[in-house]
Amino acid sequence: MSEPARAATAPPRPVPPGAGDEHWVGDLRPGEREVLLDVKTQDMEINMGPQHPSTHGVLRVLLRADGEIVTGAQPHLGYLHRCAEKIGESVEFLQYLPYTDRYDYLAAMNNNLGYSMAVEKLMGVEVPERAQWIRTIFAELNRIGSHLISFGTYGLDIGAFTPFFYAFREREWMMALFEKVCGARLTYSYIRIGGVFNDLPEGWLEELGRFCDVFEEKWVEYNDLLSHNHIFVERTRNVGILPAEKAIAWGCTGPMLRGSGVAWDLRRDAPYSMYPRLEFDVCLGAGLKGTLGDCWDRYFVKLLEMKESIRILRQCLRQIGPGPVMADVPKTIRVPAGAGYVGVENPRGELGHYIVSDGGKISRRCRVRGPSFCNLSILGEMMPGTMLADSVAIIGSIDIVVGETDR
Amino acid sequence: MAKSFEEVLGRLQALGVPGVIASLDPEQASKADPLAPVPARKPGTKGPFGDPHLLVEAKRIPEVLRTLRDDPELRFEMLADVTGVDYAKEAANLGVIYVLLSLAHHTRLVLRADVPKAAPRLPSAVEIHPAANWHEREAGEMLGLVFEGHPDPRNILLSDDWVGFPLRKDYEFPVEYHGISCV
Repeated sequence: MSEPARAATAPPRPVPPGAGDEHWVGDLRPGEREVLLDVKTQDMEINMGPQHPSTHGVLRVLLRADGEIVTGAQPHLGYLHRCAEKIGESVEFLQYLPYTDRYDYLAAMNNNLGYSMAVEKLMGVEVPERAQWIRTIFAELNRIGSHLISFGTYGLDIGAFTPFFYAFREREWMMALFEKVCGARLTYSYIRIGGVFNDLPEGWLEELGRFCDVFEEKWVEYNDLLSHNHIFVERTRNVGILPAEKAIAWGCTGPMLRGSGVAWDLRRDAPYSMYPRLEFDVCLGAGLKGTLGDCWDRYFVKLLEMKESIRILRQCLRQIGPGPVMADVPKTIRVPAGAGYVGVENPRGELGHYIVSDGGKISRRCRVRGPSFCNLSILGEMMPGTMLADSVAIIGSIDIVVGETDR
Repeated sequence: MAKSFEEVLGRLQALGVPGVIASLDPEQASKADPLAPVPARKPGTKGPFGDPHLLVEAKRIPEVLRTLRDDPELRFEMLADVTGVDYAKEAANLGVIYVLLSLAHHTRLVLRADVPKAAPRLPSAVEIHPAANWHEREAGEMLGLVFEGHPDPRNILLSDDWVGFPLRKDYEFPVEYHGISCV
């Protein structure tokens, strides 16, 4: 009997025990589960992580595989839980600022900005204009740095080693720029409640201009190296497709949402800081290489955003003027009673802070809504039906930072 | 264009959605629960600067969320956050906060439902917004909230055998955990 005919007549495989476990989120559609092979297979549970190099930290995903096909995925979180919210209820407002660096440690400036803005909102503080420009510059520069890591490590996940080094070449310069301003390379605590810690050193803005020129040249190299690389495209296109409605329903934000073609960017749609005075495009996935919302789209949105960030930085350089960099904020910050939510567009999506104050020095509640946490929650829904080898491509394209999922 | 809190509230009242208690008057709020923060600001006054909160009866949360999501004039299609707040040790209620986002109208809305600390139960919102899944698990383990009808109410950040609810104000830090000293 020829191969396909034999496969077609093979009786449907009985559903293995445990297949209906309620903890498994999502499953294959009826009929999809029977793989037409006359070999006996049984579901196998595989632990991916917490020490797997492509989980970008200590994430553990319990995969259930039927041969080469993933039938379920359960992310297990908490390995990096450091009680950020409990600490927020225990220390003073300014003392908590360094802890914000540590949720999404690749975008510490953006975290500082989100927290500072939440506290400023409850205090009713007006931040001086120069401080706002500086904040916008650092938010965008850090976005580039964060997307560079994402670009480099995604290449690593798929098996391309070289792009990582190219990404770190520019990131090194970006970190040197940060170091000149605040002395730190990873956890900056530079953006403070009421403004920024200190003014920019002399010649810094000129150097930033040179960085923008060089970066734009190098950006083309990234595309040559990875974006249009045939092997990379084949590994990522039509893989892990996320339809727009699903992305919205599961609370996905940032490149994950825009990769599915939803034009939503808090910088444009709920503008804060200096973004209302800047011109930039919201980069969207368009299914250029495959289907809209596949891994390649999510990846390419980040590439495009780096270029937009350069455009924003150039406008900031033109418009920034002299002035104070800190509002008149007392040393010991007391926040009037009230509760408020502030969301900012982090490189990975919407970082939200919900702060409740009773009028004292310490907040009653300091809730952090991390974009990685929300983006990752859809994994159990996305994985069933994909090939085991693609799981790395999908997890990598969600682009999580475990410091933020676990906080 | 962005809708103001008053417009959203007006629309909900026009639709006659049960369970919407409207927003608390600042003075009323301070009488009802002296330690709870003032949720709403009267227009034209300076401070407090927080967000106005839409108070909702806890057991009506799914209906309200569904109306907010499906009504063409509201369209709060994304649930950004769900969390709980323990306002004070002596407070009788826990607050449950829902942060909604309307991509169509560029509007954000904060909902608050109060549940008694003695029986902190309320219906889960997972059926309406799958995004609530992990947030409710986190709020459950951190504050002891019970979301009825949640498909998978396990702990998410804490280990399965963790004792107590860390974000309750009366939480006592453990002395040891599986033989590891915590002091």
